[in-house]
Parts: sequence; structure tokens; C-alpha cells
Amino acid sequence: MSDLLFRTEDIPNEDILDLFVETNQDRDVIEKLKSVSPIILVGSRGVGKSFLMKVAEEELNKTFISEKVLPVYLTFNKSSLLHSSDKSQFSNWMLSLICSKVIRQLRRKGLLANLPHSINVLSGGEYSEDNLKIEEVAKLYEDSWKNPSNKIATTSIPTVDDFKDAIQEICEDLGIKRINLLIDEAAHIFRPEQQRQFFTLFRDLRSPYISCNAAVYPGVTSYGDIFQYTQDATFININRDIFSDSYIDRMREIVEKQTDADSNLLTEISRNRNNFEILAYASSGNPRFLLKSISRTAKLSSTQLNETIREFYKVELLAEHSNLSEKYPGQTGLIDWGRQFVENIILPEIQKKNISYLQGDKQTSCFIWVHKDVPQTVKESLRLLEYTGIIQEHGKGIKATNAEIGTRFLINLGCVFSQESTPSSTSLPIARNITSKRMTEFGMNNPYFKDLVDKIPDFKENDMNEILTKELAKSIDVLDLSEWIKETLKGINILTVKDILTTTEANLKTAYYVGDKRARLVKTAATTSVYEYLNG
Amino acid sequence: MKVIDHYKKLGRDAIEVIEKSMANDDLDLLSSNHAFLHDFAIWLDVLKDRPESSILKNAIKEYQLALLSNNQGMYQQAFMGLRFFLERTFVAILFSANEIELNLWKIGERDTYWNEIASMDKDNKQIQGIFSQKFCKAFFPELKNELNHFFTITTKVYRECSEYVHGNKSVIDKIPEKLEYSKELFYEWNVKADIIKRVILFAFCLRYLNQLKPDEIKQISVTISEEFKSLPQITEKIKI
Repeated sequence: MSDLLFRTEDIPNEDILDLFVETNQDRDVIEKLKSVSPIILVGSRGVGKSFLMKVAEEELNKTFISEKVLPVYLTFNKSSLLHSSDKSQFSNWMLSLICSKVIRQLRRKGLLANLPHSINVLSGGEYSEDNLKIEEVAKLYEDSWKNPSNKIATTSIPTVDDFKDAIQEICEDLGIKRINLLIDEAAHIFRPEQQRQFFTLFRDLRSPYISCNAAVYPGVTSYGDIFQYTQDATFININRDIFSDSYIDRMREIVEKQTDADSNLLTEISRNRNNFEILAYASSGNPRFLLKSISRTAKLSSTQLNETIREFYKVELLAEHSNLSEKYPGQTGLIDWGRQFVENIILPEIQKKNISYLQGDKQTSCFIWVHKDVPQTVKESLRLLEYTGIIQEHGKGIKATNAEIGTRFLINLGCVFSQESTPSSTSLPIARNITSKRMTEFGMNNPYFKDLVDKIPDFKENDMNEILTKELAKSIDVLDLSEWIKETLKGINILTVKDILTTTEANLKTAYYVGDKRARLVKTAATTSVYEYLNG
Repeated sequence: MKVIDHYKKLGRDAIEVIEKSMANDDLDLLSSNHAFLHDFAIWLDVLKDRPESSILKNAIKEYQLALLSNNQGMYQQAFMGLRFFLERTFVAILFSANEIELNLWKIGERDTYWNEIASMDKDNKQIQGIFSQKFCKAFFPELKNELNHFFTITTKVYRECSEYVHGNKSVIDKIPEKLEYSKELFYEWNVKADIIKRVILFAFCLRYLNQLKPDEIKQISVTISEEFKSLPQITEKIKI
């Protein structure tokens, strides 16, 4: 078997609808994304945020002629490269990126032949078919990390109101009902200042001609002063319901739809149904976890399965969490405590309980409950665990013992299984008998929190500049790329993260066996993983 | 060299390849693929009075020749034969549900297409043919959740075999220019045959299992009990 596609960004747009495995829940989210009301999708890495946005984009594209709603998909993943002393830089950068994407999309739809007047405001002055000024500015910002001392002219960037007027004119002139913005990786998880600016812009962009949607990681919660959590957007948590009857079949379909899942792999899945079921439960609804763990369990044998559960969920996933602290030394305390909390307290406790539940023929558990008023640092630490996908929020405002209110979290089942000595034989009874009614409770002043509160009384924001320089100098081995791609890159002397960002497709083609299509694939995969790496 | 000598030499070359194939340290897959001839014969016996049985007989003959071709280094022919075996068996199963088409086909009044056997309708996104909801509802409704899965495996393995028949250059390049042994292809063919064995047994169950008499079920149960132990819908039926 060759490489499965782990990332939505690696999938060409025209294939998106073919790879899509629709559940009722997904359909609901897509319809909401396509509607007028502003939506914010929340989910950890790999749960399918980008995928749903791309599907919404493709569907709107298909119905554009009749519905006249123009989808504009864009990602702010490059925001991690931004840093300058200019306070409004991020906001300007976002606007300029939105502008250039809108223009591109209009052009692609063949709507720009008659050059409406409004385009001039949007494109930052003179409109030229070859080069849009605003694109240049956006590019200048993007490149600012290379030469932080260069001043960038921003006078040509319109204000938010200019922007909205321009959009209104475009819509009226071109007979477009509204523009549907789909903003992926909207704000950096470790940069509250960017988050505040993003949510402020999100609120400011409200207009009858723009519907704004965004995807963010669970930790992104600094909304700023303007944005009102309950009024200005509907937040949708897109974790899959792993307890639904069709869950296993849907996850199997996700694997089947991958072109590189050949008949050998699918036959093994078919023959070793239980082992596949364990891997599907272990992924806890995260398709990327599933595809990654399947790709190293190609035989689906019990031996391989046990190895994968141990390696992937017990070692690598937790290690990935710890690695966050290498990139964000300022958060080391929160990151380390979170891991210890899961590894030393939660997992052994859940395992102990499940053993006794199963012996007594009772239902099992993979949930914890955390009081709503626990210290802020504990909340931050849990958010980071959510970001990595080790825990998932499973319900707010849940009543527990003594009618206390708190949040219920689901613990990644792969981590739960990894406590077992032979997951292949003992995990299924656990997974099949889970009830959300059983939770391990952590009250307001749980003694385990004391450690963290003593060490870190307050949550602090990070300084990115220094971190960025350090990150860019690292070897490409830190990136989540297949071995084949890494070897290809090294073969042509692309050794560091920075090298990937600065290389061209033409340069990639000098590598052995790499043609146009491969070069594009490698460049996209490599850059995406760089951004994702830098973003967390 | 006379024509006679030419072909005699080729025959000796083929025997040399067979020697090499048989010297392989792992022949488990080959043995199990060979054993499938026996399993297929059991089904043939149970289905002997059905009008489509002649097609099945023809199909299994082709499977034997494909096995032989693979063993003696005629890899492209082996993959062709294997694909033919899959296609023919499925034609029989499909037509078993439609005697008019079966008879027209027998007298040469009609062709068959892979698309009518197993394909996805582009407009309504429904599976056509053996793995369609309709076929399943009529013969073995409990298997409905497995249709998509087996349909996907079948279309993939069919396409993978086709690549050896008229595929892209990288696949064709793997095939030796002259008659010689290739460990990779020998193994690859056996893996595909193993997969095809499974989808055919599944299709047999889907079509016939619910209609067999108890003693017939007893007869064929040995061919499927191990293969489908992960499918309770099938194991339930053969528990007598």
C-alpha cells in the first residue's frame, strides 16, 4: 500500500466530493456553512474541519449559476509567519488576503471581464490584469519574516468599511447574492492577540452581502471586546459521534474512498473486522488518526494492532503533546502538567474502573467531568490537550454529583486502550459498552490541580519572534511528512523548514522521479505541514 | 530451428520457470488458491442443476489455466485469466437472477459489460448489479451493510488486474520481456487471486445461501466458515 492522504489540503478540489463520506451530522454542518448565518467550526487537528469547508465550497461552486452565492475559501495558516512591530499588521494582512482571494475567485468564475468600478477600491488603486497591488502587499507581509526591518506600505489597503462597500458594489454589479467566506485555520492557537483581532474582524465583516464562516482549534478562545460569543456566531463542535450505530461503517468508508487503499488492505479490513473496529474506536472519530494508524497496520493482524495502539497512542500522541513545549517554551508548565494529568491520573483511573465494571457486567466509561470553576491554568491545560486530540469536549453545563455544573470530556479511546496489555483482546468490550453517564469527576479544588496552580498562577502569552527563527532552522524531520517525501527533499538539499518555504516547484523537479504533478504534491504537502507545524 | 523445436524449447523454458516458482519458500498462498478449485467445485455441485452452471464451469476452467500461467511465468496472461474468472463468475451470478438475459446471452444475442455487473450509477450514486440494494434485498437482505465494502474491494481488484492487461507503463514494465520468473509478480498474482476468492465466495453467499437446502448448506459451509468468521450474518446461516 502506498500513502493514504492524511490531509485535506493534499486533495485536489475536484476529488473532494468523491472522497466525502457523508453522515447526517456532516450534512447538517455543510448546510449551515452554506447558509447566511455565521458559523465557527471548532475541532482538534485532523477531525475534518477543512474537509467540510471544502465540500461546502465545492457545492456552492456547483450551484453558483442558479443560487448566485459565491464561495471564497481561504486559509490563514500562514499567519504564523507574521511578525512586525506594526500593531494593525495582522488585521491588514487578513483583509488583504481576503481581497485577493475574492478577486481571484471572481476572475476564475469569469466575472471580471467588464471590470466594475468597485474593483479599484478592492485592488488597492490601479487595477491591472496581471498584478494586483493588494496581492503584493499581502505577499510583502507574508515575506516579512525574512526581513523584519523592512517597512511595508499599507496606505493602499482599504478599511473594513471600504471593503464592505466594495463587496456590495461587486455583488450588485455582477448579480451575486452574497459572498460566502470560508476561513480555515482562522487564528493561531498560541497567539491570543491574533485571535482577538480575528474575532473583531469576523464581527466587523457582517453585512447582507458577506456571510462569514471560520474553522478554529479548540484552544482559540480570545474573542476580544467586540465579538460576543453567543450572538455573533454559532459555534459547532465537529467531533464525530463515535457511539452512533453507523460509526464503524462510516469510518470504513473513509478508508475505502482513499484511492491508495488497494484491494489488499480492504480485504484485510474485511477479514479482520474486530481489529478494524478497535482502530476505528481508538481514533475517536478523528479520520487522520485512523488513516495514520491503518497505514502502519496494513495486515490488520492482532500483533500489528497491539503494536500500533502502543506506538501511536501511548508513545507518539503523548510525545506530540510534549513536543508542543519545545515550540512554545512559555507554555511548558501547562503542557507537561496536562500530559501527567492524563498519563498518571486519568488513564489509570479509567482503566481500574473499567476492569471492575466489566467484571460486574456493567457499562464502561471513557469520560471525565471537570467543574466549571476550576483554576484558569487547568482550563488552559485541558484546552491544549483538546488541541492535540487527547481529550474532546463532550458537553458543557453537565450536572454531576451534588448538582454541581461542569464540562464533560471524552478521553481519546486509543489512549484508553493503550493501557491494556493486549488491546486486541480487551478493548472491544470496553468500547462497545461505554456510557456517557459514567464520568470520573474532578471538582473545583481537586488536589491534583494544586501542583499546577502553585507553579503557574497565571496564563501568559508567548513571544513569537524568537520562536519562529528557531523553528525555521530545524530539520525537516520534525514535519509530519511521509518518508518518501522527506528523502526526496533531502536528496536535493532541502534540509530545514525554512528551505521548504523558499524552494520552488521547479527546483523540486530536479529530484529523481519527480515530475510536474509530483512536484506540486510534494510542495503542497511540505508547505502545509510546515504551516501546521508552526501553528502548533 | 524448426517450428517444432522452437515450441519445444519454449516448453522447456516454461518448465524451468515452474521449477523456480515451486522453489519459493512460501507457497501457502498458492496452496490456498489451488485449494479454491476444490471449494468452487463444491459450489458447482450444489448449483449443478441451475441454468447458469455452464458459465461457472467455464469460469473455473479459466482460473485453472490462470494458475498454470502464473506458475510458468506468463504473468500478463495470468492476470487476464484471473480477471476473466471474476467477470465470468459474476456474469453467471447476475444472470442467475434473470433467465431471459441469460438465454439471450447463451445464443449470442447479447453482450455483457462490467458496468452492469458492478458499477456506481453516476447520477443517483447507487450501486448497480450484484452489489445493488435491489439484488441484496431479494436474496440476502441482512448483508446490506456489507455491500458498499465488497463493491469497493471488487472494483478495486478488477481495476488492479486490468492494469496488467492494458495498464500504465509502470505496471507493464514490471512484466519480464521474455519467459522468466518474477518473484514479485508471482506473489502479486496470488494476493489478487486470494482477494478474488473472497469476493466470489461473498457473492455466492449473497445470491444463493438463503435458498440452499440444509444438506446443501452443510456441503458448502466448509468453503466459507473460516473465510467469513468476521461476518455474523453469514456464520448464523451455516450454524446447523
